[in-house]
Amino acid sequence: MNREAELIKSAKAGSLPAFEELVISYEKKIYNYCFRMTNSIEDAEDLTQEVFIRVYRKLGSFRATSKFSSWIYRIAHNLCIDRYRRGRIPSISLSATKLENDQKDMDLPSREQTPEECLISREQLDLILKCIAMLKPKYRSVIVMRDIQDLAYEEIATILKLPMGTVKSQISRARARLRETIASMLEGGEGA
Amino acid sequence: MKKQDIKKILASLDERDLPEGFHSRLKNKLKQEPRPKAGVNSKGWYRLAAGIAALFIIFVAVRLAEPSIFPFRTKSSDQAPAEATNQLDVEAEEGKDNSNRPANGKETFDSESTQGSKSSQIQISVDDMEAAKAALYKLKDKYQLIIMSEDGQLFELRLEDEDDWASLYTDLQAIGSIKQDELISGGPISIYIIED
Repeated sequence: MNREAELIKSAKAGSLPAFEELVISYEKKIYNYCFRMTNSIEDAEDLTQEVFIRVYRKLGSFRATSKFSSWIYRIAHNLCIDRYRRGRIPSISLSATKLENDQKDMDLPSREQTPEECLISREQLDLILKCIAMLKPKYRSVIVMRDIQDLAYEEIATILKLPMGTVKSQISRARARLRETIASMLEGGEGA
Repeated sequence: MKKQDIKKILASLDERDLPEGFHSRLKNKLKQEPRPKAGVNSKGWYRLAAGIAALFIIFVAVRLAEPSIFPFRTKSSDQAPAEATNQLDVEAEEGKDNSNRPANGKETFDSESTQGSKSSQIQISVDDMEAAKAALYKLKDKYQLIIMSEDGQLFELRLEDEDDWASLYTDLQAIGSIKQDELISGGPISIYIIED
């Protein structure tokens, strides 16, 4: 039995330290997923806490038919979509100019990059993140999972409970939609 | 902006750190939660209950549509005919006891005893009613016929040995002219004698 399975077993038996160890394994990924879905630090923290409380409550019903990580991601995804449907996550319009703390997210440029290149990259990142935030939640979620969090197609299919082919086509459509949005933003910027 | 550029930029994003105090806040919330219940899977119970209900509905529907598929004994369907058969046997025995009586012994027979069951119907036209009845009584002895009921011109008989059926029919033709017949193997025989 691997370490994660042992922790799950202990947590099911009521061990809070075992559960806290599981939380530590996944909290950053889940928090980042929620943040990319909501673009709000407060909402992301609130949702992440809600995710782990749900996981704790429903741990007894978890069967090892799927990966534990997929199960947690599914809970996170459902909560984000639910919050979006309730209108508690505002949609971002084309006119929005700034997202929360975007500038900090970028990897520091490699040493080969000049400060000018670095500035261009940051501007591009800002633009891309803004455009991702404008996508529909179903497109936003697959872009975040695949292109930002680097999850495998198979895992995304498990999380979303969709066939692999549907996931691939959804990712493809989401990327196309993202490029269209970026293009329209650039055109708007050039025109201004 | 090219597709590859977008992917490259997105892949280069760092993971954000958790806000300060995240753990303590989560821990406080978790402490307020009851301990997780092991093995509780309400969805599984719902599915099981729904499956049982569906099977029951299918069973009832099939049973109503085609009772022979599930031939279980029930009071309403199987026991009742069995009781009726037994009653017939009793009445047949009663008929045996009374078979030596003259033709007017109709009060000892229950003409409704075989109602509902299929019987061979034979109508014989005769010149002399009394002679025909006497001949019929002779046949009773010859073929060990059980007279189940007798009502004036109508006799209801049962033939013990199926192999005698052809021979009996020939003898009945000797009594009179058979005007109408509907022969069913195995069941009781209703003979209606009419005088020309």
